[in-house]
Amino acid sequence: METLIATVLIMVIFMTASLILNNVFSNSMKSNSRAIDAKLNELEYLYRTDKLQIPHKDDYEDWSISILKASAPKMVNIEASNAKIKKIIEREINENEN
Amino acid sequence: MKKLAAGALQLVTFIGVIIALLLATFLMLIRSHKQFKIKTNHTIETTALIDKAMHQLMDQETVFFDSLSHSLADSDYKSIKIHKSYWGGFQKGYASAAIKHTKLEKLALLGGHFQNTTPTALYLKDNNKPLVLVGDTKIEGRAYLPQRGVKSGNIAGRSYYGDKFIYGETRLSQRFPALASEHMAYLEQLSKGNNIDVKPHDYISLKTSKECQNSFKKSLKLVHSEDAIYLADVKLSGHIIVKSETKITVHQSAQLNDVILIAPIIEIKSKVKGRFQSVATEKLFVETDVSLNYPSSLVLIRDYDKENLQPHHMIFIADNSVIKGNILMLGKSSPKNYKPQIRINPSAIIKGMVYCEQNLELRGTVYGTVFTYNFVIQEAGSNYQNHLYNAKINAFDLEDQFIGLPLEQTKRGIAKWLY
Repeated sequence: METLIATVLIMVIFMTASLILNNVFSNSMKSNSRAIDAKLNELEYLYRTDKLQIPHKDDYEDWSISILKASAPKMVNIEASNAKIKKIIEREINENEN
Repeated sequence: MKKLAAGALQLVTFIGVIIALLLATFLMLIRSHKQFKIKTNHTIETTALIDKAMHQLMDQETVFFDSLSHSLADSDYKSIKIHKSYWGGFQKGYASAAIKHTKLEKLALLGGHFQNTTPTALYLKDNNKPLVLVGDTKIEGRAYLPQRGVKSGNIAGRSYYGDKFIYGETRLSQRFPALASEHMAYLEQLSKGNNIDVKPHDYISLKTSKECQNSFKKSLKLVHSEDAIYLADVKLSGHIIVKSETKITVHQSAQLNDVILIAPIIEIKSKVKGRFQSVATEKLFVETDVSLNYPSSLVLIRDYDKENLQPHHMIFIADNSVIKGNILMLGKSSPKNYKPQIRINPSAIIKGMVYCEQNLELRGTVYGTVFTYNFVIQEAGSNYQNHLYNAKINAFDLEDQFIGLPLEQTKRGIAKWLY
C-alpha cells in the first residue's frame, strides 16, 4: 500500500516539476523578440541612411513588417505583427533624425 | 515490511523536497534574469526616447521657457519633457525622458546647422553700393552680393591682385538672414542685465572662493559688482554669469568655461585661453594671442548714434588671436556711420560666423561666413565704404559639423553637450 502511495506521489512530483519547467521555457521562447528587434533596428537604420523608401513592407519569419508615415507630423511608424503568437511591436521615429 | 514502506515514503518526501528546492532556485534565477532584462530594455528605450525628445526640441523653431510634457503613443508609463531657452549667442536645450523609474536628462547648446547648404562665405546687404576688393583679398565660397555687384578698387596705390573676384558662385542678396526677434530681445535684455533671475543664495563672491563650478541643471549663479571686475587666478565653469556695471578685464591666469560675461566694457587681455561668451554694450577688446575655443561668442549691442559718439563702440580683435565661434554686432546703423564697429586685424583668425548689423572692417581671415550690412576700411586717413583690404574669407575650410548662429529658418544642431 505504502509503496503504491509513494509511487503515485513521486509521479505527481515529477509531473508538476516538468510542467512548471515546460511552462517557463515555452514562455521565455515566446517572449524572445531578439531576432525581430534586430531586424527592426536594421530597417530603422536603413531608413535613416536613406536606403529605404517609405511606405515599405517586408516579411521576416512569422512577422509582417510595415513602415508608414505616421499621423503625427514628421513621424514615421514602424509596425511588426505576428499572427501566430498574436503580438504587435510598434515604434515611432522622427523623420529627420540623421 | 512496515519499516520498508515508511522508508519509501520518507525517500519520496526527501526527493520531493530536493526537487522543490531545485525548482525554486531555478525559478528565482529565471525571474531575476527577466528583471534585469526588463531593466536594460527600459534603459535602452529611455535612451531612444531622449534622442527623440532632443530631436523634437531641435525641430521647434521657437523658444519656450516652460517645460512641456508631450503625449506619446504609448504614454501611460513613458514621459518626456523638453525645455528651451537661451544661453548667450546660442540656445540651450533641455530634454528629459522617463520610463517608470529609469530617468535620463540631456542638456545641450543648440545653434544653426548649415551642413546641407552650399558653403556660404559672404552675405552682404544691398545698400546700393558695390563690393570693392583691394589687395590680397580672397573670397572662397558662395557669395550673396548687392545688385551692383563686385569690382576691384585701389587703396593707397594698391589694387586687387586676384585673378577673379569670387571663388565660388554668386547670388543676389535679397532677404538678409536674421536672428529670431526673441533672441535679439533676449540679448538686449541680457546686456542690460534685466532678465537675470538669481536668488540671494546664488550670488558668489570671487573674494572668498576662486573656484566655482555650477551644473547647467542647477539654478544660475551670479558674480555681480557695481565696480570693475578683474578676473585673474579664478576658475569658473558652467551655469555662471559674471556681471559688472562698468568693466570686466580677463587676465590670462583666469580659466573660464561656458560662462557669460556681461559689462559695458570687456577687455580680454593678451594670451587668454578659454571658452566663454562676452556681451558688451560699449567696447569689446580682444588683445593679441588670445585663443577662444569653440563655442565662444563675442556680442556687442548698441545702436549707432552720431550725436552721442563718446565713447565710440566697437569690437576689436588684435593680431594673432584665434576665435572659434560667433561674433555678433547688433543695433541700428545710420547712413552717416563711417566708423567700423567690428575691426578684425590682419593676422587674426575667426573660425565661425561674423554677423554685423553695422560696419565691419575686416583685414584678417575668416573661416566660415560673414554676414554684414556694410564693410569699411580706414586707411591713409580716409574711409573706404564697402571695401575689403587683404581680407580672406574661406567657407570651404569650415567643418561640415560646425554649428553656428541660430538664425531663423535654419536647421538646429547640437553645438556642445552641457553638464
